[in-house]
Parts: sequence; structure tokens; C-alpha cells
Amino acid sequence: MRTSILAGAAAGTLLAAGVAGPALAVDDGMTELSVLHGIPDLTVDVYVNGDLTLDDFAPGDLAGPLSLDPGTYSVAITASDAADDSDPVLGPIDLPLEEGMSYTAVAHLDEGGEATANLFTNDISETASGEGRLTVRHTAAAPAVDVWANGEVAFESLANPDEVMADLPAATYEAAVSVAGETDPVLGPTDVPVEEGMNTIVYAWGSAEDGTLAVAVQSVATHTGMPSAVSAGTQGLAAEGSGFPAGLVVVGAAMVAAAGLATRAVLVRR
Amino acid sequence: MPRLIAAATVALTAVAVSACAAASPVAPASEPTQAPVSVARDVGPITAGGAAGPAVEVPRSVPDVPVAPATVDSLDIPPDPSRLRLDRLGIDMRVDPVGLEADGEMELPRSAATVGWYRLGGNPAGGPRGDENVVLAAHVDDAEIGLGPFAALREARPGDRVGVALEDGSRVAYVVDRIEQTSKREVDLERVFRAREGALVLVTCGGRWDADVRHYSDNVLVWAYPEDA
Repeated sequence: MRTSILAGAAAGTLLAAGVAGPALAVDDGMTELSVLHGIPDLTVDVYVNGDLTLDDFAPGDLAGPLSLDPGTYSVAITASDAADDSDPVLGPIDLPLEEGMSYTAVAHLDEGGEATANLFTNDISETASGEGRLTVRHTAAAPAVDVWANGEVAFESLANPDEVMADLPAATYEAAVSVAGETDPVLGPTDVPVEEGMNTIVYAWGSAEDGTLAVAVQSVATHTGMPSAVSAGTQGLAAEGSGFPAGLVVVGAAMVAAAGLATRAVLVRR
Repeated sequence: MPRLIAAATVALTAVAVSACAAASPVAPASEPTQAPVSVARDVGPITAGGAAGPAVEVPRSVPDVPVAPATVDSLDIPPDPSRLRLDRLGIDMRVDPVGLEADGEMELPRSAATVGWYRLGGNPAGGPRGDENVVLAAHVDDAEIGLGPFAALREARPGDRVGVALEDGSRVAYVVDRIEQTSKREVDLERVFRAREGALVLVTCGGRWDADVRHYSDNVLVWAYPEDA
């Protein structure tokens, strides 16, 4: 969630941000960043800490997710033909990225149509069994909207640049967006899958005035539980000493060097 | 101490694992103070010709960052595994996605002839969970068929080929690296379910049978890695 104002943000289930449990959806000791380009008609280059990182990044594109060392990253967005980041159109912006967290940085229009950028934190806390998470972010130059799911209003009066989220039974939902209080959709309806153990994040972006309103979607893995045990047998027929064949016990290094397995077997990627 | 049944290498590096149920959060307990980093600039018209600045051709190397249009169609939802084969052992079984039982143990198909794929873990096709291990488990026996195909797992050998077919018709091939049998009290389930090795781990039970609680004493694990990695 964004830490600032949620005043006026919609009805529906607002979940507290924060990380529950060990960092698993994100690589150990790392942080995760995606970047969404939500400014219409502007192909850009993106510099991170002075290095060109995204070349000719087009509106509606999503970069990442990237697994990064935690820290603060300075991001500048330039025109796509710029020679360097000395004259950015946005930024430089400092993005503080913390270990174990998942973020999406979005370049988008504010309600008035000005280019801006926001760093959203993606809620990757564990979902209940059979449920996934749906997040909706208003990043369009448009007034407050109502978000519809399966023909009913799910969230009311979502304004730029706020977000709402809810955990839902895993399923495909027909999603639509209307101006708050109205019924005709200005976006959608479009089918959006909510997967177990995933946070599906839907963005409204573009400009209502210019007729460039569009939907962008990304999904990020949430933390998931793991089994406490695997109890895989109910009859005792495979018990040792019961006549069950001991099997061919092969010890020592089997010569499978050709497959190059030896070193791979013992490495845990960190 | 896990009893190593067979391995491609003799020495197994001890792996330090972090506690599964650690309560300490990885983020500060208080609300992270991330001020919305709003920087509004008047973008101004960007002409196609790029009026400002010289057209300098500078060779630039850009890191390999995945970029794709953020549409519903490009959501990376990999297909489910559908079949498991170990030809030398005559194993050819249907795979069903499973989760957790109410008591927190892994859910398993009732029949020992069907394999459960832990759907909240890794997928052979990759996807958002990347290189998290893929875990497939089946009962070693059941009341209907008696001993099931996974009773043969203890006879797997390093070098055996394992094939996983997916719902969309694609296949991923693995090669067995080692077979382990470990007391359930000591088995490192953290490594099975949480390590990001891209491993395929086949799990069943074995060892002594306790008729009072109707449980086996051990887990049997077959570790395999992608053939083309």
C-alpha cells in the first residue's frame, strides 16, 4: 500500500501492509521491483543510479520484476533519444527499497494530467487457502472511479493515486471501471484472473480527456505456507522388515559425470 | 541423520536453513515510512524529431531486464503439471494440484496411483515463483490398490530420467541426482519446499510402520534437476 493518504479511498477490504512471515516470495535478502510506464504517447529511457537500465520503454510496458539488493535507488526518466540522464523529464527520484518487500514504481499522470511517479508497495503477505489478492490502483488522469467486479460495485470512489485491495476466492472476475456514481464503464469489462497465492494488480492509466484510458495488469507471487509434514502412506505395506523388498541400494558416486550433475546437486541458490 | 540411499555425489554440503515459523518480520515493525515520491514536471511536447540535443550515437549496454506490455494476456500463469513419468521404474501417473490440509500437512490425492503437486510452490514451467522447488508427493500405499507406484521410488538411481508433462502439452525433463530416506522428525522440509534450486522433489513415505498411529517413520525423497540446466 502507499503510506500516505487513503482518505476517500474506497470501501472494500483494505488490508494492512507489511510483511507477514519469512521472506519467501522475494529472494532471501533481496528486494523486488517492477516498473510500469503509465504515461501515454511518451517513449522513454530509464536510468537507475546513473546507468541506462530501460531503453525505449513504451507506454503500457512493465519491466521486471527485478530482484535487487535492498537500498535506495535514484531513478531518472528521460526522453528516449536523450544521450544521458542530465535532463530528465521525471526525477531523479529516490526509491527506498527494503529487504523482503515487493514494489512497483509507476510513472503516470496525476488527476490533472501532469506527469508524476509513485512507488507502490505490493502486499505479498500470505493469502488464505484457495484465495488470491486483487489490488486496484488509480493512476489515470481521470476523476474518482468505482471499480466493478462481476457486475457489482466492489470499490467506491477510488481516486488518483490511491489503491484498494481485497482477498478473494481464486477465480476469474469480470472487472470494469466507471466514473464514481455512474454505471457506464469507462474501462472494461475485462476478465481478470485472481490466482491462489498471487497478488493481481490492476492499474487504470492514461487520460480520460485524451481518450487514452487503459488497463494494465501485473501479478506478483505472495508468501505461501509450506506443509508441516508429508504423511504419504496409510497401510504399512511398504514398511521395512515386513517383506517389502529392500530395493537396490546404490551408494557412492554413481558415474553420471556426463550429465554434469555433481556440483549442481549440492548448491542452494541464494 | 538422513540415510542417503543413492547420490550422484558422495559429499552433501550441509545447508543452513532459517526457521520456518520465525516471527521476526523482515520489515520494520512500524509502518515503513515511504513518502509517496511524487515529482511532477511539465512534460511538454515531445516532438518526433527530438528537437533538443544532438543526435549522438553512443553505444550503450543495457542490462537484461524483462519488459512486456502489462496486459492480461501477458500475465505469466504457467500451466499445471499433468503427468509424471519415470520410465525405468514404470511410473506413469496423473498429477493433481494440491494444497494444505486443515491440520497443516500436505494434502495428498486419496489414491496412491495419483501424484499431488504442491500448487503453492514451484512449477516446472517456471512462472512467477521462478526457481522454487517443484514438489510432487504420493501415498506409498492405499487401501484399494495396496502398494502404489511410489513404492518404487526407493529403487530410483542417479541418472534416471524423469519427465513432467504440463497441461498445455509441454514437457520438462529432469535427471535424478540422489535418493534420501530420512526420519520425519529430522527431514528438512524447509529445503524441500522453500529452496530455490529449481529442483524436482518426489516425496513419499517409508521406514518403519507404526500400526498404532498408522504412520510411517520416514520420508523418502528423490531429488532431480532439470536436464538442460
